[in-house]
Amino acid sequence: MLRSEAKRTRNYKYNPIYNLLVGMWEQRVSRVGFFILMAVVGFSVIGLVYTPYNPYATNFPRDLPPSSSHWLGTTDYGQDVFSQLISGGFPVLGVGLGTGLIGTILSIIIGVLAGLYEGTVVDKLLNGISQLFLVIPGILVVEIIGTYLGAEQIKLGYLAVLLALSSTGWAWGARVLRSQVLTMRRREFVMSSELIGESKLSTVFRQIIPNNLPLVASNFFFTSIYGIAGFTFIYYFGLGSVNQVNWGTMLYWSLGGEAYLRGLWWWYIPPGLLIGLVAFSFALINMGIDRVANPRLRVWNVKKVRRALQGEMR
Amino acid sequence: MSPQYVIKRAIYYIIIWFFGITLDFVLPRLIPGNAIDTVIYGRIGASGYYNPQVQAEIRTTIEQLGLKQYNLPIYVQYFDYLKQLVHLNFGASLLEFPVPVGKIISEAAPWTFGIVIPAVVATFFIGNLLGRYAALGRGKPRDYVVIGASMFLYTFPVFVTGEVLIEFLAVNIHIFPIGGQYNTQAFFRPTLSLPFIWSLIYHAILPVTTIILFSLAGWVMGMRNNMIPILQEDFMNYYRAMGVPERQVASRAYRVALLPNFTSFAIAMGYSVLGAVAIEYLFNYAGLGFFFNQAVQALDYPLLNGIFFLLVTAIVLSNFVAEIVYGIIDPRTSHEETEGI
Repeated sequence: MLRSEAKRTRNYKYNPIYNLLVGMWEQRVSRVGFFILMAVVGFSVIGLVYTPYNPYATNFPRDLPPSSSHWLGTTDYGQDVFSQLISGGFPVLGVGLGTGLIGTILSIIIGVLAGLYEGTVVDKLLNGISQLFLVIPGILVVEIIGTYLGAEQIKLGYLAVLLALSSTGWAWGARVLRSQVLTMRRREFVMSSELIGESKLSTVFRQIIPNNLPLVASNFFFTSIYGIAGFTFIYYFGLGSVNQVNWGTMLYWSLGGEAYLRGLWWWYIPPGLLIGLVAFSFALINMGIDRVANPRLRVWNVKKVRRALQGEMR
Repeated sequence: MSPQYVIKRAIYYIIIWFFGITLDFVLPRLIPGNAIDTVIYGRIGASGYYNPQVQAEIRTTIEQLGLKQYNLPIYVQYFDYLKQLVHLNFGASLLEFPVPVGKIISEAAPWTFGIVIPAVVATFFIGNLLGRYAALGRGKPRDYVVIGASMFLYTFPVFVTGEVLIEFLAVNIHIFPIGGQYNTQAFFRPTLSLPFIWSLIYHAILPVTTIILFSLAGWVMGMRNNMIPILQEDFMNYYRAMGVPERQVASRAYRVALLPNFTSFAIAMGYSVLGAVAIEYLFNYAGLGFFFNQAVQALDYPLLNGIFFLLVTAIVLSNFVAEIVYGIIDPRTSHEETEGI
């Protein structure tokens, strides 16, 4: 660890993104999270080109337990669970990451605006709106919006779900960023650049955000977890269009088929587990980012540090 | 803490609450389809629409339901809505006409809070103790196990957790009931007797456990991340230098670290109500979430309004109370500078 740090300082060029990535990679939690995420993404990529059977086909014997011909058995409607599972991953991943992206962009815009116009009407209004979205249970709003989408979804597809989730998931990040902008603007290095004549907006994007990059990144993954939870929620209650095959609709149909009362565990546990794994990998990566941003939370690998120290002494 | 501070925060929360109420009015009306159509088509079913007798029936239905208000201009509806709120009168539910919304809610709410409050209190204790356990064993296997397990349970879809519990504890080995609020067998009457109370608790165990498993992670992570820096503070080292045993040092750090977690209590309440909304349908537990789902499916505006109103009010109120209580136990927060951060 020390050696890598020494290597970094030798030809030192400050790059916040590179620094964050290296810092994350050094934390074992986020490395594990990354591997889990890659495994699930890889699984879904295979599903794009190859499925054992047609995931929409309903001509198999019903309620078969897992066997060599149907790896995860069949559903009550005669569908092959494994084919559905392998082909149904991309909507969840896409909506989750998309929600994270749009939500983070929204929270940057709103948080920065509120922070720059501190104390004015703009700030109070934006702050009020974000407080409103924090207080009001977003998922209930999504559920109501979801009903609306049920009708519109044929035209818009997953984009509608994505918009509903990202429009309700930005509030927390906006508030955190606003308070960061407020405190950072009182720091000497930002004040001195403002005195030299750098515009306010430029200090935000060249100094404040790069210095708070871990915060933005962690907000991204946090919002992505919200996106995945919301996606599952919408589809579980049958508010999206339930004829598409994805992990959410699999849960919906397994609820309708009362899989949990009839012992058909292969129908509802695999999609639930994969949804959980994706969100879990985000949470792990997030923990790594927390440790980068707050060194007191870091867990040092004592043996490795000692070895590095000895190597340096020689 | 000055009274000005309390008043200022109170006004702030009232404004938020008012916006929430307005959102409550706007959102259900954005849903396509029209309440009148929904109700009428529901009533007609397969019988012919053009039958004059049916049409006459429909006309009386509209008048009975008081649905005419949905044809009025939106601002008139809004003022009517506010007028109704003052009287806490949400009209009749469309789903279970002519039962008033107030009656449905007042019957459903105790069930929801009856599983949410025990769950939140239990989670607070279990989660904080687990977080302390993880913080003290930081970097050791037990740290990873506690954090990993609670985090995974949080990210795992909460209804699937419920389904797993039902399948393995209620269906495979018959320890718990698969759903419902109490024993509904014919000879069993809901009276205030010991068997009835036992049956209430017995039926609540699985839903409460599901909510606990789902919401543990927040406390565990919060406590662990609060406590690790505190354990490294100078005053902790001072205790150690004085020869205070490590166990007592830990319990002192725990008390300090517990402070910020009180603010999370209200937020946790909100999240747990959401957890309850998600699983009540699964456990066939006739609380707010159960009716909320039915109302969304059936476009029952009055019922939606009522439930949303109750939830928003409860959450805003608990946030306000939490802020004031926290201002009392930690006076630093009520200073001007930190306000709004």
